[in-house]
Amino acid sequence: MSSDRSVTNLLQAWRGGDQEALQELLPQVYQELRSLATRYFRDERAGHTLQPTALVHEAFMRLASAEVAWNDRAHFFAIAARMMRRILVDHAREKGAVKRGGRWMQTTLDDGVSIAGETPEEILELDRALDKFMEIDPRAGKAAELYYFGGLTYEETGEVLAISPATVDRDLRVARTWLRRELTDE
Amino acid sequence: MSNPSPEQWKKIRAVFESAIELPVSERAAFLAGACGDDRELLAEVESLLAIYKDDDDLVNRVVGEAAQSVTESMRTGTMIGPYRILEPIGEGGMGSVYLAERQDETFEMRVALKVVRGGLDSRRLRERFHEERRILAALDHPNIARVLDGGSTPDDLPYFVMEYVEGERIDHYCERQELSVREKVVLFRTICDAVDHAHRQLIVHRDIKPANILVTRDGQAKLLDFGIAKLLEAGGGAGRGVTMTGMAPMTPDYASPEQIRGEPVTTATDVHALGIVLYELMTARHPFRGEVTTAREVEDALLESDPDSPSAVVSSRRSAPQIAGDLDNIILKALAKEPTRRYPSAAELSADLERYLLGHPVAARPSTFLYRAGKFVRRNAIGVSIAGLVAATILTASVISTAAYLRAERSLVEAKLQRDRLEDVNDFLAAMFEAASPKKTQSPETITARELLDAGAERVEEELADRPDIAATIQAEIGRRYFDLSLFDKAEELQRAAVAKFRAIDGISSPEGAKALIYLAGTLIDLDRLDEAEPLLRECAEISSGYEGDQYVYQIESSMRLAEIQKIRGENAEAAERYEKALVALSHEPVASSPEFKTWRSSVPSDYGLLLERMGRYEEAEAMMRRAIEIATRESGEEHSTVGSHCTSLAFILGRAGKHEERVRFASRALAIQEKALGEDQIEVAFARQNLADALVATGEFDEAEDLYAKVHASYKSAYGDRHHHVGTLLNNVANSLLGREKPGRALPKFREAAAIYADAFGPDHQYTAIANHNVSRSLHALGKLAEAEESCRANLATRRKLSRTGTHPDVARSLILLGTILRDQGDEGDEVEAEKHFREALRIAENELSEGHPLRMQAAELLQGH
Repeated sequence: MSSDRSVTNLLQAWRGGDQEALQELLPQVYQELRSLATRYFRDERAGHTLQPTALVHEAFMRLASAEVAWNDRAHFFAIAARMMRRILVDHAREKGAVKRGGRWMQTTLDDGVSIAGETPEEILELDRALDKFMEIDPRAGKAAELYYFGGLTYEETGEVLAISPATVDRDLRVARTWLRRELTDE
Repeated sequence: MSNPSPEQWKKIRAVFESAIELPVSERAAFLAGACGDDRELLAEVESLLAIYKDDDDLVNRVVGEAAQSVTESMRTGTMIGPYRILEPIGEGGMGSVYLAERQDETFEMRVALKVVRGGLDSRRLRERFHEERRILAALDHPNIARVLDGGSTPDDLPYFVMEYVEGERIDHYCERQELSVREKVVLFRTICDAVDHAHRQLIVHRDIKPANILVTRDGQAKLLDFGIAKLLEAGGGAGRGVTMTGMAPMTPDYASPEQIRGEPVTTATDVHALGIVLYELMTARHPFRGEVTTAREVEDALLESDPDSPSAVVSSRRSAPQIAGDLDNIILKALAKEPTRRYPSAAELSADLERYLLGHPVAARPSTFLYRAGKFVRRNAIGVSIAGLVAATILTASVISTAAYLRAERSLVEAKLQRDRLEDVNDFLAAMFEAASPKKTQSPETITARELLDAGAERVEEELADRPDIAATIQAEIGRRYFDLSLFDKAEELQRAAVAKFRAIDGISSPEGAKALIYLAGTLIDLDRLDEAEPLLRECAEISSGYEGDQYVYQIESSMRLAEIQKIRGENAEAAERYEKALVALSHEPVASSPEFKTWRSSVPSDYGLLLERMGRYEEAEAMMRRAIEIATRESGEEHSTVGSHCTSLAFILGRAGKHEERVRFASRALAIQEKALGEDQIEVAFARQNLADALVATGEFDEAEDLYAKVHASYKSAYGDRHHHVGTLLNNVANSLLGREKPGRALPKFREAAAIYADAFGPDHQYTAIANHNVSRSLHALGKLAEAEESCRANLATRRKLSRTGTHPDVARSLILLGTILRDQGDEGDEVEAEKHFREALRIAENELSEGHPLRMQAAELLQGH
């Protein structure tokens, strides 16, 4: 696979009717998504080390079948981040539903992880908080979505939103402080 | 103002951003100026500043955990190794647990599969698991959930497979069932027994806590995760300097002071954790977690403060008086800060609890120092008199064993001896763990079984110099563990030392002495040093001929080992006689129904069946093997691995008798049983698979066979590496399949490799090496390279003559027949004459050693007639 043809070029070429470009695009998109996702799963601090192959697979399926316009890289990433967020939230909802069912369980693991207050529903709170934040600060909210759910760098986030990396930095700082307050308030 | 408008937010944000650029001390003044009268603005900015921290931790964590949860749930329906994931059943800081089932057409086995996360080095973990798996497999106890398997997921995370236990946490169970104090103690003691069983296998749990103890619907407690904590530490050490607590946010609630301090983990560590669990069961409170909540505070309490007496904190007025006194003392003794002040073993904790239940005085005392000092003196006093007792007992046993009153007295003495030994063995095991502590060894993160054994081996001489009987018992056991780890040199060294000690104190004819002889002989047999093993076994057979009851097992074992040697040497008639005798012995009570002899009841007919096959008595062999299957099925259930092994053997016999279709049927059944009973990665499964492949070769299903061979090869390689003798056997059989398809050119290099592997493993003068070399000659013959074939066959014939003491092993006949055939094909007159001579000798051997219908015998006869 020639690496000199960037995803963006391929996206454009594909939009222009070049079907081969799609064939070349798919593995690259896959790789891109994979490394994106890996970033927050393979966190250096340990704790989240699962390979997100399956997750990314699903994200890609949703992207491909949603027939969105793959105008450019920005769109691609924006959509990827949004899809990722939706997957996480949908799953947490389903899981909450199952959990309430209650069952005879085998708990062989440490169930004493309560120090950090881990509950699966936190993602739902985060989702609601982010929605709320997007209403009052759409750009910073979008930056947070791209950065946290899409795993983009400051530079990439800036490119998508057409702002400088320094502005991304400021947006994120504000966004996470707001989100933190929303999540820890109760 | 929790919902500012976008306009209000712009202001809030601007003030906030300016403020965080300032030093904290200047912010208040700045805010006062910037917000003026706008109190809502001020409040908003202040609340943001209050929680402002310039890091991403919280959001990253929430997203990360959610993503992980998705990934984990997506495993449902996927395969991990041979396991299909059915559903997630638990989640925690260390990873996820799934209900899974083994993929198999005929059977369904449900297991708990635990995927571990947290930056572990899965390759190292795998290696370590491999090293320790045999030891973990030895953990066969009704109150321990067995660790069945381990490996790594497709995305390279380590996983463990355990027996699936459907149950409820022990603390929840006790609460829901409203168990009384005594009922709780009874239940808890079963856990102590399980822990003690593991300690005797040199396995420390390290992570005992209520969440790891489940009670099944029928009230049986099961301890989970044995051996896992240590393996995890092994996987985490790779240059990252992380400990388990560093990898995952884990509460130290069940840690011992020595674990927190990073000191040696010993059997006493598990005793401490048991103490915490018992405390909680009795009081529904954690001994160190009173008002404090953070991990740090619990750690401090564990190190510094003494817990309140359980009876003082229990809320139930009914329980308090039952707990006060003895039970308080027992629990607090288990919770002593200093490991040496706790019970030295779980067995002693259990014994003290039993004394409590029976109303006897317990060993735990508020003032443990004085108590221990007193005990020390008492123990040594007993020690002095023991040597005399041993000698006297043996004398009594052999001279006047019929006198009933003496026998009664003897059993009393023995029981006492036994108890005392047990205690000393326990003390020694505890000391071994301490000796092999991370601080004293080079690799800081973990202790391997090997290091543990080395430490024990080193100390046993020195520390038990005054107790040679106990030292010898322990040395023999350590030797046995070395043997389990395939460290034969060390095994032999320790076992020899044990035997020498027993001889020196005149204790070789005690059951322990007999056991030491058998262990040593077993090691020597595996090293193919049969001549050295034989006299030891004869001695043991002699000693144990007077044993009664369960100790008669040493008689059976030594005799069967001798039969094994005779079988290897081709002394078939003598071996057969031993088996016949053993069958008779096993059919009489109490041996016929004692659990001690369970293994032998099916293995003797099975081994005898295989001997009969070698003698060409196929009908009898088949009948004998069916008998073995029937017995094993009755005693262990039709899905037990033993039944699988016997099915494998029956398949083999059927093959030799030419019943190939039936052979395939039994080989398939054997494989199915082993896969279900043992799990994919167990080597026995690979054996069964190889057997099925061999069977398929015979029915001409070569493609299917070769697929199986490839799998087997992969298993062997990962289990043993490239040069193990099992790989040799496999190559030999694969090549045999090729030879059967008339592809001698492809078969030849494989036979050669097999021969080279055998020569490496066993030496050039070994029967296996000779078999592979024989096949090399066959291939050369089939390729028409007659001169080369002749040369290699002659060399091999010489080896086989040397191997067979009497020169009459059937293998010698095989070589003679092949040599004769090669010579005849060369067609020279002199060769013809020599060939006939060889055929004649082969027939003579066959007539003596093999039954009439044996193919080898028939072949020799035919060849001779053809002349």
